[in-house]
Amino acid sequence: MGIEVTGLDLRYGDHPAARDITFDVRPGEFVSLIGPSGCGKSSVLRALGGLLRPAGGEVRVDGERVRGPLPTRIAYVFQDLALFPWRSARRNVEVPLALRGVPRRLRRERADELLGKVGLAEVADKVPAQLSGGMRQRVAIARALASDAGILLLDEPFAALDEQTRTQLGAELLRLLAEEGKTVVFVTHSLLEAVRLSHRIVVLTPGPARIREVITVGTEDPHELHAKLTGLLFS
Amino acid sequence: MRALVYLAVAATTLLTWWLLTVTGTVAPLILPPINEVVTALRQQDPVVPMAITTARAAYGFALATLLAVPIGVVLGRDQLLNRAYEPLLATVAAVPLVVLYPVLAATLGLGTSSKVVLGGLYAFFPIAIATTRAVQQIDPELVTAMRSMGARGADLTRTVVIPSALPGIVSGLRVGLGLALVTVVAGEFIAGDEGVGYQLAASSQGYQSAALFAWVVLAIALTIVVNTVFTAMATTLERTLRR
Repeated sequence: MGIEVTGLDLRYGDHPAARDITFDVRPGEFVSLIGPSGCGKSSVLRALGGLLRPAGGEVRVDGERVRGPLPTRIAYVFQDLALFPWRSARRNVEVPLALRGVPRRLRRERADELLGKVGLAEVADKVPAQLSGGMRQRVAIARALASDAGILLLDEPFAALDEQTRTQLGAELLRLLAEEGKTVVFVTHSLLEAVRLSHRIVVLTPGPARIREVITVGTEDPHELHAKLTGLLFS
Repeated sequence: MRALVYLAVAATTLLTWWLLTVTGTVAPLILPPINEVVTALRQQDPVVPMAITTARAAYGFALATLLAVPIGVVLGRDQLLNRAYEPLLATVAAVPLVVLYPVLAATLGLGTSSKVVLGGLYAFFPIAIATTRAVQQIDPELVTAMRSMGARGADLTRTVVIPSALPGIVSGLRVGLGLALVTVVAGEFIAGDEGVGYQLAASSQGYQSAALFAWVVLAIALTIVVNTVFTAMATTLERTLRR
């Protein structure tokens, strides 16, 4: 599964959110979008997932043009998680399975298996309010995995967490995604997180977002990379 | 603890009542002694009038619910319709609709239909308004998340809209049911020949204070029973729809 973004223009009414965005994501790759807050990172992510109709340009997934949500190919983890507050962790993970018509018993088995993978087997019957921030995050990731989509779009999923939980969850997420062989686009405003997790980093300008630079992680000296990114973001 | 508080309130009320009558502070015509009211209570046959009033209120409430909940969902979801009709809804709700009762009585007669329609009319507005508000307050991110997972119209209504809005809808239903009961009793009080309201009117116009107070006590008891049943039903509904 790969994503190609070509000349993407996004606007809300008369207000431009992004201009002439072109980049690609190769199958199995982890790409981060970083940029100053409010620059339009989330809007770009929404357009990739077919949740925001572009004013110009196009997004292709596996060569097919994206015109709306593609639930079997693209799964989302939202910034505020969007978990159902009245549903248990298990029943939250079951949602995409139910929408795909998976029978009840299989749904439950698959949900329990995924909750086990993210280390939440013990709390499957608790509702989100009874879970910690980090646990809620894992439920949202398990739900995204339940859709069996090859592409995962994550919108600042760790924003509400403390640094330690953030680092730990980031590491777990990498292990999990490698196991499942997912292609990932990850929106963050944390430089450190982007460097730690990604293969490539797409740096965006202040809004309306344009592409400032696309950086491949691992080819450069870490200190130079950090200095360069800091320069790009804060100049 | 709660039972103790209830008990204390009831005891204080009865004691005050007893003191006021036994000392002759208040004339028996205005406040009859407790024992006379108890005797009057024994002489009444409350089942039929209470059943009639409850059935009328229930019909009116059911009719109002069937209309108001779908209308509220549409007005909560569609911004254009909302801007057009929500102000109208709020304005009409503020009109004392009981002014329509003579018209209803003239067209539908003094029997059950005019009471049901009046009760339904009063129940409709709080339910429609509460449903609209509750649906408007649904977390838009939940709707987006559901769309990203492939949900469409009916799925969205069933899995997000109704469960999210349910607590708000239920509080509208509670207000609506109360108003249906009150207006049915009032309708019976104004004109009619059966039901709790009629019994109140008949004993009041016949200067039968003890019987009047007996019916007041019965009307309060009826309200408590109706509310308890409603709460039980609402709890079951929330358990079923918010799983």
